[in-house]
Amino acid sequence: MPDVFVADGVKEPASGGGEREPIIRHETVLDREKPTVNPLASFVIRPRTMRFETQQQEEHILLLLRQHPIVNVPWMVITILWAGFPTILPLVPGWSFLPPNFQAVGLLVWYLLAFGYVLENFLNWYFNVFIVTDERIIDIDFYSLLYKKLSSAKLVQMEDVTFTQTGILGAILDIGAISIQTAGERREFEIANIPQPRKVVLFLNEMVGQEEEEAIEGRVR
Amino acid sequence: MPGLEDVFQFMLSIDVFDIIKLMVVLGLGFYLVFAVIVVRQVELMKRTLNGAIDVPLKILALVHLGVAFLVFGLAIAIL
Repeated sequence: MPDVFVADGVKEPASGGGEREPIIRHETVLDREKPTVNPLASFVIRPRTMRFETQQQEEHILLLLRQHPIVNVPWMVITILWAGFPTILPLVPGWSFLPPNFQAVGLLVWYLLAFGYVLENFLNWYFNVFIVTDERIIDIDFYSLLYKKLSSAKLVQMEDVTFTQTGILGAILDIGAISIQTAGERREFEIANIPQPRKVVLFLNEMVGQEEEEAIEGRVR
Repeated sequence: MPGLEDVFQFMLSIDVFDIIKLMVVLGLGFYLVFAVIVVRQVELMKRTLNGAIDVPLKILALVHLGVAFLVFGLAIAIL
């Protein structure tokens, strides 16, 4: 009898023998894309050189998300204005009455504060991430200088994934927010201003489907 | 009383720029503490999520701390 349907990615199990069913691994939407090499990207596919604190030995990061780079524009504009302000200092009342040594130190302090401002904003953007591995989702948030929160939930615990995309900027730049309801300790994961939210939701749903299949086949770690 | 007179003489001799210098040095002292915390923060963040630009970020944080020290020293020296 001819085959009615043959699935892609069908492979025989390594430990053969007997009449066991082949393991079917469905391709996800990100499998067709190359791993991201740009370390400053906000949509990072299968990063090769990244690891997070609670990552297990056999766990692999499949997707790492940061806020879209456009969220950095406000503080960058402020920094440019901040750096340019000293050019109009001679017009500021009282500035010319300060001795030259005070003016020099004042300028140095001004630019030192700008340096600190830029550094803090960049660190805040770079390290606040959302990670999808082959087993779970992880949300890493740094709320202040020394306060971090790392929340995770297994993929099979995800119950509902929705995304919203609002505004002209969201439509033009494909930015949105994702909300994930889980059955874990942390009930809801909210990730705002991420790029390609539709693709992320599609990927998450595909990963949940794979986890459910693995659970049925008894291959859950 | 000689002691009180000395205090008054000292207070009258204080220049407004001395007060400004004190405030600037104190402020920079607090900023130095902040700069140290930033270095510590980068360490903590690297431990949580390490990637390709960990070394440049550590260097940036240390440069920031170094510059803060330099400005602090300059403020004490030349103000």
